[in-house]
Amino acid sequence: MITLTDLRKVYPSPDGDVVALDGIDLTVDRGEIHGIVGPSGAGKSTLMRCLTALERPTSGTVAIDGVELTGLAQRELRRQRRRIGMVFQHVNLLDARTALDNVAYPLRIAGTPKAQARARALELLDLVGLADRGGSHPAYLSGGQQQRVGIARALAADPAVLLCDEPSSALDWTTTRQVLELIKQVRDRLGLTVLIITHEMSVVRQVCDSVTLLSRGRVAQHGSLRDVVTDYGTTLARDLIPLAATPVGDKRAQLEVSFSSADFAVADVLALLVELNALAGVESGTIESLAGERVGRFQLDLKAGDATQVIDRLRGFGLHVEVTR
Amino acid sequence: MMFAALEINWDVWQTLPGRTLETLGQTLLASLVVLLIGLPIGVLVHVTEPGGLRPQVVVHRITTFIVNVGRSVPFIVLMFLLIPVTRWIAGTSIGWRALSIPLAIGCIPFFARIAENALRGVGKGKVEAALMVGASRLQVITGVLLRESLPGLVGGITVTEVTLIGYSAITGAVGGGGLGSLAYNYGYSRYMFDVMIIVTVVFFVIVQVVQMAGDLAARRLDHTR
Repeated sequence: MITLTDLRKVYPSPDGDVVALDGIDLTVDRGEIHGIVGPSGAGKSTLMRCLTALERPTSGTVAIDGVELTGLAQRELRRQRRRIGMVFQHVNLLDARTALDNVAYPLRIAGTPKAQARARALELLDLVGLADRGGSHPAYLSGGQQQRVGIARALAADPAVLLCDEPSSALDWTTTRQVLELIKQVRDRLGLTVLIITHEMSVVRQVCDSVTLLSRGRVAQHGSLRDVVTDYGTTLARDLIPLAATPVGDKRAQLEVSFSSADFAVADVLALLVELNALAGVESGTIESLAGERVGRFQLDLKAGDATQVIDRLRGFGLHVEVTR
Repeated sequence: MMFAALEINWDVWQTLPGRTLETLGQTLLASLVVLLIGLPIGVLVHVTEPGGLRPQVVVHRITTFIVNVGRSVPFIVLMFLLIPVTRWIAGTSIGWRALSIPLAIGCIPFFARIAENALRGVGKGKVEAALMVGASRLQVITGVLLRESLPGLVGGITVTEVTLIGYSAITGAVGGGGLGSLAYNYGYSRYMFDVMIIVTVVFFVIVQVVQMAGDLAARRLDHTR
């Protein structure tokens, strides 16, 4: 379990202090995969650096499974860091060592005998599907393979928590899916608590159970994936179910309809849209399976004069409607 | 006319193997000292820099200053300047052994700077990754910084080695023995052009061998290509 309490980080600068984190409270339960999203400059990287205690927060606390990292002495901090597995955007494998030795490195650091460390490393390489590449140096592995080795290394010291900093941002789409799937598998098998920092909503859609939106160093929105996507009209709900932008003509209105299969049978909603088609045509729309539900968003284009009638009908049915134009 | 003047002074040529050994011995002795002192200084400069593994502004400034001062004194001046030190350590200020002292001191800052540069090439992310798995600073220095920069360090050692060989010839002009003394005492002072040529050839061969060995070692150690 990860607990952040009123976490603040201020960087002093000649032009005035820069507040990177402005009082973050956050709890991620054991076994949960939690995504932290936000535009660049929102404080994601600073948050990650405070979580790993590579950076000391200005105030507030960071605790992993009840052990507070802030204020630990160097030696004890080193011991606690082994309970945190870290996956980096740029992997950061050691070029001079083979894949196997990279995975064994955290164990060797901790004083595990070489043979034992290598045996464990081989198990982990097997877990990430690279048992046959142990002898290769990182330069001879593909980006996806390197990240798999990175994940295996993060798991070497049996951590309780896996922190992933933009784990897939340097990878192509297919490899991203594989790497995220692997993170999910690892969570399922080892019961880890996982925190993923990312700027890609697709990552959140694919693996996260819950999500936090950071904005200017504060928590702007927070909740389980199911809760945030059905909190229609919020930033996360919109970003998680994106719609293509469509042009709007003069004297036309535009409506956005959002719904979840938790509240409606999808077929009933579609039937209603078909019924209203003569007045309001669907311009763009999407239905996604998220957190066990199907969540949909449709954009309707209609004559400005018909707006009231259509809105009443949709709202009467119980749907969430927003006038976007 | 040139060829007519080129007579071979066999008596001088006979001293060539001995003088070559002196040059090699002097260079080797100085190299060991340069490596043992220069590398730690390079590491110190690198880890104490702002944003480094162990930022220490004062230590960083002082070491950088010493390295820069050392690098800015021309070797021939340094050699004269260090005569008392040489005499104090070696008991004499002539001979290849004694003059390996200013030779080493002259090259320490040079190599420290080169080593620091090689260390700088190791990505910060690698250091952070090691710190994240609980590595101590010493473990980061040995297991990450030095090990990852090894190909670059070997390249730097090769460059330093060639510089040392060149400087070692200069010591020959002030009683440091070796091939430099042959070139100075016979080739220059007594117009023995053949001695000049053969010394040049031997230097060329030595440098060539060092450079090739260094390149080979660096390539063997580099796993990124």
